[in-house]
Amino acid sequence: MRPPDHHDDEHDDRNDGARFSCRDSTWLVSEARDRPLSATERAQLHRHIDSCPHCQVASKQFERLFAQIDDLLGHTRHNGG
Amino acid sequence: MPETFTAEHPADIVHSFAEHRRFLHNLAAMQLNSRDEADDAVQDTFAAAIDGVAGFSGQVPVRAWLVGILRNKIVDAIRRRARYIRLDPADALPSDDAEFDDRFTADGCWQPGVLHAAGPESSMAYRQLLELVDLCLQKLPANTGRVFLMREFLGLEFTEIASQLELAEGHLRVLLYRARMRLRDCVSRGWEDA
Ligand SMILES: [Zn+2]
Repeated sequence: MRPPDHHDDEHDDRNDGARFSCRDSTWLVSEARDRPLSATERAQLHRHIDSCPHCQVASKQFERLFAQIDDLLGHTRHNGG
Repeated sequence: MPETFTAEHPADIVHSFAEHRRFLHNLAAMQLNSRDEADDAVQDTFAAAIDGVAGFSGQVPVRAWLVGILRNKIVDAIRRRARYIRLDPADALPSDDAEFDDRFTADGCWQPGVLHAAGPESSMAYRQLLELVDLCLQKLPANTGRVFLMREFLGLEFTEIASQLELAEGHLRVLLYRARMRLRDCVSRGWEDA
């Protein structure tokens, strides 16, 4: 039902070497709406959010936004997160 | 299950449809190619709802029920058309995350000041919050909004959206990312201003 792992050139370079950034975390928060994150991605995301006060705010905002979108569009959450 | 009890009389429910027309029409217009197509989808939705009102259980709000019917009408309309919908080239360009460069520092940290309020003011009623999201949806660039709703409203799979729009899945992901980033920007600013 889900597409196979998608190779995304624009974002791959962030994972090798470079520190996982706030920007990377926004990408994964968006991706998590569409597909289950891999264990590695989940770990990266949670590790970052735990240590980053900005992303704690941002992820709370996304969470609220997504819940409101679901209500607005008349469905309960698809996919989980 | 015992028979579901509906507090409202079917005629009252039908009467209340009108207050949702604009919302439904906006949703349809964001995904279909013309006002006429959107009008048709909304008319078909109301017609189906009137036919089915006796079976409406009242377990979801009337609007959610109508939105569910509309979703099917739009999916039908999209699947019926033989031609592809072409995206505006500006939207279909390969990823340039440059769009959000001003939100982040060079090493990818959030810029101070762009996050706005963490949550809505308690004075905002939930209905207002949803209106804010609706308003922000309307402000998305047309094609970004269309892609976003094909995914989040119609619930179409990536492969179907990608083939409908003749778009690579990678681009699709970027458009969805942009839509969500813009929506976060827009609603969090609204929460702060409230
Ligand atoms: Zn961060």
